[in-house]
Amino acid sequence: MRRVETVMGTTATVEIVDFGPPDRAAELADEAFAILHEVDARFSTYRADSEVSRVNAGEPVDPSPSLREVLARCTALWRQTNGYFDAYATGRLDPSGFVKGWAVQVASDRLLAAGAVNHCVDAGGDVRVRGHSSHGRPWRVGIRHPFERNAVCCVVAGTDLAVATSGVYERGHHVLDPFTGAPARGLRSVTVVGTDLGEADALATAALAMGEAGIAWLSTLEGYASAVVTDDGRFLCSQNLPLAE
Amino acid sequence: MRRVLIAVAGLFATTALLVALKSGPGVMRLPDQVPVIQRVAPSPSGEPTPSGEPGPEPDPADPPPSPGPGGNTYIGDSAYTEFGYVTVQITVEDGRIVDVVALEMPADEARSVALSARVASVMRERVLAAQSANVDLVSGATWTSEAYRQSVRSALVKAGLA
Repeated sequence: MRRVETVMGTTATVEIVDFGPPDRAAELADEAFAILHEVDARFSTYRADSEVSRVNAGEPVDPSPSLREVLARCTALWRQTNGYFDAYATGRLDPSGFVKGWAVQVASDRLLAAGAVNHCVDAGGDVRVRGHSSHGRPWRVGIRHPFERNAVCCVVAGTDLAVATSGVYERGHHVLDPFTGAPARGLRSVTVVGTDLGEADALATAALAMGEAGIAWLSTLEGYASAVVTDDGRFLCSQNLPLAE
Repeated sequence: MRRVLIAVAGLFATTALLVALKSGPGVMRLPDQVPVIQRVAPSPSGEPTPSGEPGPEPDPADPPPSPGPGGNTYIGDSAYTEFGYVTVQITVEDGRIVDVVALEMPADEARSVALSARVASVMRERVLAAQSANVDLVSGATWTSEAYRQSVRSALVKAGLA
């Protein structure tokens, strides 16, 4: 059971494998997408009526439990990344760098809690996989080759992986160094692999913003694996990266 | 209620300022080389790419991906960004989208085109190995451009789903 919808300004995929009655699987997929749409409605900076936009507009807002959670998580990540992940980098609240991965994680947690032990959820390249794929083996997640369209530069495999990639290979797209305000240079693509997709997403973005120093910083993270492609075309990965054979 | 929010935002800003002052520019303080990270590829022995090769410029003649079984594909209008055109194709089954593929994306900046020729030559082996590895899904940075969204929207209109 595989389904794709457009949400959060990108396309999202939910696939549920080997799960009893197809009707129930479809219901669960609906629930997963409902979570993604709900998070989008609450946190989108593109929608004037989202909670985040109302906060930025200075409206009196009693922060919802989700907003409180996201703000707390963003603060913790800001500390963990020495300020390189900054939900206020633009001067306004924009937690998108955490929220997309977090939404996928919440949707995946919901699927697991409902008994769908084999599934993947993917929103625009932020990937959470659990159990096995329809081929009956651990999920195989390719990491996009930053210089070659439609190619991957390596494959990771596992039964419980959160895989987030930040990259600047789309022309005109930059990640800003929050300390200088200038586009970060040195790294073309950073992938962080762990079990919490919101954090993996934010950590990947932070490392990209650090430039080459991000490589050393990534290696200090506990509980995460990482892969990096530098601007000058070097591929580096941590020794614990679960590379497929 | 507003006060609560301002308090939250205010705390955030204050903390940021304090830490910025405390750590200053030397915030990283990390060793130059950390052995945990391995340099895996490339070696400088890669085959040189013939100069004048265009590199991985998006090729409009790329065959579109084959639609899934019983799926209908719809190609969105090309949307222009200041860097080039974006075109997407969607596949629809039973009134639902089952796949979205970018057929055309702007090329990377000139510098990275030159780089990519080099990277492609040194990393070719890995890339080919990866492509034959039956990947279930791909992790990559989100396409952020408005042009991408526009092309998806027009494909949805053509599919009668918008």
